[in-house]
Amino acid sequence: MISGIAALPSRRRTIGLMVRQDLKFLYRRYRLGFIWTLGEPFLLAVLMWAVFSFIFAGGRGIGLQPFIVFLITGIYPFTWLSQTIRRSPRSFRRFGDVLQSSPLPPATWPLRIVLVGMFEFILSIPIILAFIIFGGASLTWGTVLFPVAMLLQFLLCLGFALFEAGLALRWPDIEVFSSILTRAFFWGSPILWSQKNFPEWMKPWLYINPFHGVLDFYRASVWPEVLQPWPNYALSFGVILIILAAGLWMVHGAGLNLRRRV
Amino acid sequence: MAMRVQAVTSGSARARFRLIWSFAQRDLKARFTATSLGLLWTLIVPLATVVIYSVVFSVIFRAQAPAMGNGKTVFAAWFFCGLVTWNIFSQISHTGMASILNMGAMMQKVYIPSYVPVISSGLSIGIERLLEAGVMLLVMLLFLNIGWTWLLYPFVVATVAVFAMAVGYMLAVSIVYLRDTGQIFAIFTQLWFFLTPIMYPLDLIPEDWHGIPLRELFYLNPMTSFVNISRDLVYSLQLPSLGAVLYALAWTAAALVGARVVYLRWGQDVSESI
Repeated sequence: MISGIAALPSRRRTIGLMVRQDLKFLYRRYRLGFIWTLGEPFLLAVLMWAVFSFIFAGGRGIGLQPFIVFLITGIYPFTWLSQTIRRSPRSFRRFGDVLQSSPLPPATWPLRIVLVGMFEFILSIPIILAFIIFGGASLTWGTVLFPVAMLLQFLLCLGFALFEAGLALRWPDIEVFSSILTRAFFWGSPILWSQKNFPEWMKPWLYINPFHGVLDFYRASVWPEVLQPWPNYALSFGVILIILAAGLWMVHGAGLNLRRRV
Repeated sequence: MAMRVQAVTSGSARARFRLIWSFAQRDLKARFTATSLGLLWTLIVPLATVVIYSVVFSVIFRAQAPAMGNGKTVFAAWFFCGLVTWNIFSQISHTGMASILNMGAMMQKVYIPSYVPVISSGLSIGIERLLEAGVMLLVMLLFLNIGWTWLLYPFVVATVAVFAMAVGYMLAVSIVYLRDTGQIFAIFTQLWFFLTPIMYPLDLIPEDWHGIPLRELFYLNPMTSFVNISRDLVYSLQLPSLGAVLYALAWTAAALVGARVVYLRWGQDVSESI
């Protein structure tokens, strides 16, 4: 099971070329190309800020301040996660012909989707920084956790990508289900709201959602006070490992003759 | 299908309708046979959405719904009612927007009027959304919130669908010439969703904001009228105001005129640009 993914680093040149090709393919149709990658989450954040600070948060405060920075630091990581969840079910079926004849490990194809999302996220980091600097916030010691958050999100996305890609060959409905999953992650994670509105006894349970722990690590760059006792993160990261193991099992260990099935 | 496509070139209205209907049936079959739960997803997705939004908005944002026609207050039912109307518009317009491109290969080989894919995709999505509307009425029935005003609800559904198809047609022609239209409309739809009182009552909007009649501005949004009319008929069990009905009809008529202008100006030879 592990050998399938252990072979990937030796293929990094090929995988790099494939990711570049995917990025070209994704944006060649649009005149504004890459601008959409960064512009869409940016516009979504501004829109959410306008709507939620005006309609719902007036005086009650659903997120941390400055609210626009709070949203930006949540929406860009979420975009990486949501695109992985939405694109992954098609990864084996889309490249079926190549997969059957290629010597590359099958995990390469879901990995491409995760890497494309990660590349888009890295491009958005200057925008996040600009909002932090000009939005009235400042960086704190918690910034050291930012790369840790990226690593954990990479593992989470890889787990989902492998699991969905493998499952889609047996149960095509996963493609429809992924839209529910994305919505559940958006509203069930502290992207728009912060856990300060929840009673203390409930807070540890929120970390069953693995993205909750990841978001805390990103947000610690500006608000180190969001960090909770370590067992909460142990729970989130435990769930990430379970999802990754399930993904690896789905692609390499489930007795699924992947190449034949594709 | 090939014979029907040939028949449409002869121009008879009946042949065109048969073509539209056969495309709609094909779309429906394709959607439902591709998944094992098929038709059930039409119900699962909106129900899951209602559960997610209801929990988030009633627990975290503490949004309150107005009372039903029978005096009870159920946020999930109120939200569901608005969401069904929004979904009819959103899904028909989005699917319509992509429909000409999706049928591009066929349209380049044989002449198919450019409105055919938009109407057929609108019909197939409309049928799916009717099931969702049926579940919404069942929910109202569970809360014993029934009234004769329900009888008028199908007219609202039909008007929203026509409005959405007209918008979808204008976008479908536009996307042939500029692919970015899809991205722009996706963002615009998100903005539109939040500016339509689907998950919050309009009372939350201040009447006046720095001298600007803010709440009145929300009423200018045509989807506000459609959502409010639906809720009046199904949730509050009362007749909507005549002004709201006329306003919704005026927008539908304007969208149809716009679609007609787009068809005459750019839509007749669109297949050459796909």
